[in-house]
Amino acid sequence: MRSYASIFSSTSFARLLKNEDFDFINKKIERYDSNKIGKNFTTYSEYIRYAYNSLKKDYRCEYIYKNELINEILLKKYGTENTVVINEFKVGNSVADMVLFNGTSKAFEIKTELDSEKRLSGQLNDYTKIFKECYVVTHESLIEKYLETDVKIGVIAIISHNNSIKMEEVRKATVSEEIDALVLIRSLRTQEYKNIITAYFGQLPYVSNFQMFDECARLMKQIPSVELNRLFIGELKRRTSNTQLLQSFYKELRQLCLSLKINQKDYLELSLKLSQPIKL
Amino acid sequence: MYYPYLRGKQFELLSLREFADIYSDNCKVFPVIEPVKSSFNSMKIALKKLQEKKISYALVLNPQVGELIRNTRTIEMELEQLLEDRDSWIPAYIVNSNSKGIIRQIQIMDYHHVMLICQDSVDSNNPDFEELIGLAVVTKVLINNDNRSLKRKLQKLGKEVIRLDDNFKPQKKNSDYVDIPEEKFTEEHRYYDIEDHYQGLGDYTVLTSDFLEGGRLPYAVAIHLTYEKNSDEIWVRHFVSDTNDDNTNIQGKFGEAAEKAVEFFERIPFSNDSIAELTGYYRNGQYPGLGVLKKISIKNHLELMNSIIS
Repeated sequence: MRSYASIFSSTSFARLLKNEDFDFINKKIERYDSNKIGKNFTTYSEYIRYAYNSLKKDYRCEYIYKNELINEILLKKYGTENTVVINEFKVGNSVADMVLFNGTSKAFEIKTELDSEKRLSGQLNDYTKIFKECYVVTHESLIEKYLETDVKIGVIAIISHNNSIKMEEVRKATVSEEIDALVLIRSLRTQEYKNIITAYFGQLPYVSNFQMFDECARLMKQIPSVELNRLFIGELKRRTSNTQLLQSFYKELRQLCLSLKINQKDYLELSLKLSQPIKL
Repeated sequence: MYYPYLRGKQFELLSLREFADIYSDNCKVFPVIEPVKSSFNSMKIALKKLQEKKISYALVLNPQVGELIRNTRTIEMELEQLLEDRDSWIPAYIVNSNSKGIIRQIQIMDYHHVMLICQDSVDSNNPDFEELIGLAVVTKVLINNDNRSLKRKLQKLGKEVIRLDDNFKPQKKNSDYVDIPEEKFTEEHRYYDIEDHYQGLGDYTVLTSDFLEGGRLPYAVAIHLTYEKNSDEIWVRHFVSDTNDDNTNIQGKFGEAAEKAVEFFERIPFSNDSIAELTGYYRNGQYPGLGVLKKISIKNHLELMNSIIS
């Protein structure tokens, strides 16, 4: 079961897209499932669905959590209108598993049944410095533990439901306008912090490029937090993103498509490749 | 002659192009280029430039690293037009235990001047290897680690033997160079010919001989520049940024490192095209990007060796 998890690897899918290299899937089929071809599945996309469903039931790795977060919470609950979702976002010394910008900013940290909560308090401490709402995404059996960490942190849980799973918001995150300019500027690209400074002050400081970062950091600290939140969210929503396309992707592969930043043309190619019958 | 061993990546090739533009009339550099990229655009531009400027080079036809491993055919096909002019370049082969295959290649393509690059795993008593070096068309051989018995054997056969040194000692992280402001790079340019009887000297410039792909945004910016510390020795100086706690503000870090480099070379005083380029970026408050810094480091070393080697 565990070995199905490695199918959903972004490097393997990037290679598949580039070279039509099905090796990583074929190896799994050969080893475990060659006798089911023609019965349980015929094409590659059907096999991926089969593997995904097995993982969903018996081995919920981080990929399942991330992908279900997209399917169940993002698409069904929040909607993607005017939204940018980013996979893996650096904040302070941590990397948030998934973040979202629409009218607000949300950070999600995934703690599966297989993860330890060792780094969690440090991670949440970093995320709350620039995100208005922070969530832990976990399994229903661990809800109690994560409800206790910090009352401001929201909790989302995977809940087993008959033969399938769903995701529910157990506790809403408390919205905070507090924002740490010095952490924020380190999460932004050069052009983004320059845009924020220009938007608020009307112009960039007259210093050389070598002093620009320090000077922008000094200025950013002077922007009131409500205003800085608005500028931060506005800037991040301008990043190129395929968030609007997520709904149109295979529902097992949405997270992969997000992390690979797959566009419409790539997706067409990918789905053509996956719709082929399995050839060992 | 000086033989810099370079992998055919964008900024390595750019340093060769810019070097060729300045030193075509007075060139003691014979580049050895190992293709490593399946896209040949920068390679074509660079080789064309070398040919235009009449700078001879060796092209490795059996790369051992990168995207073209054992892909001789692709290289020959992609570069066919440029390689037609056989007076402007010579084919090179990396030798380990593949002597038989190389002999076959040389015969099929009917090459007349061939360079061999011997790896440590070469057994110099192996009959296939002896047959390979016995070919009259093999004219230049690069060997490393001052392998004396191999050198003697090759010289008896009348080959030009070139020592290839791995001079640059890489650290794990750029910030590790903070404690090593400079270190000795080489003194072989003084001894390789008259005392040690080599016909040429080669190195991997200021890069490591290991092939590394990509890389992340570093915490520290380090600029590696070689210079002639005294008439016998070349040293490499590592100019490193000061604020190295995370990977942000790369422009500011470049400013810190470049300031040290510019001051150092003004104090010596010394300048060449590469140092002048770096100084220009620094004076204009312009961050050129990490690739350009690598290009400057390599070009500086080519310029230095060109001015020293007789």
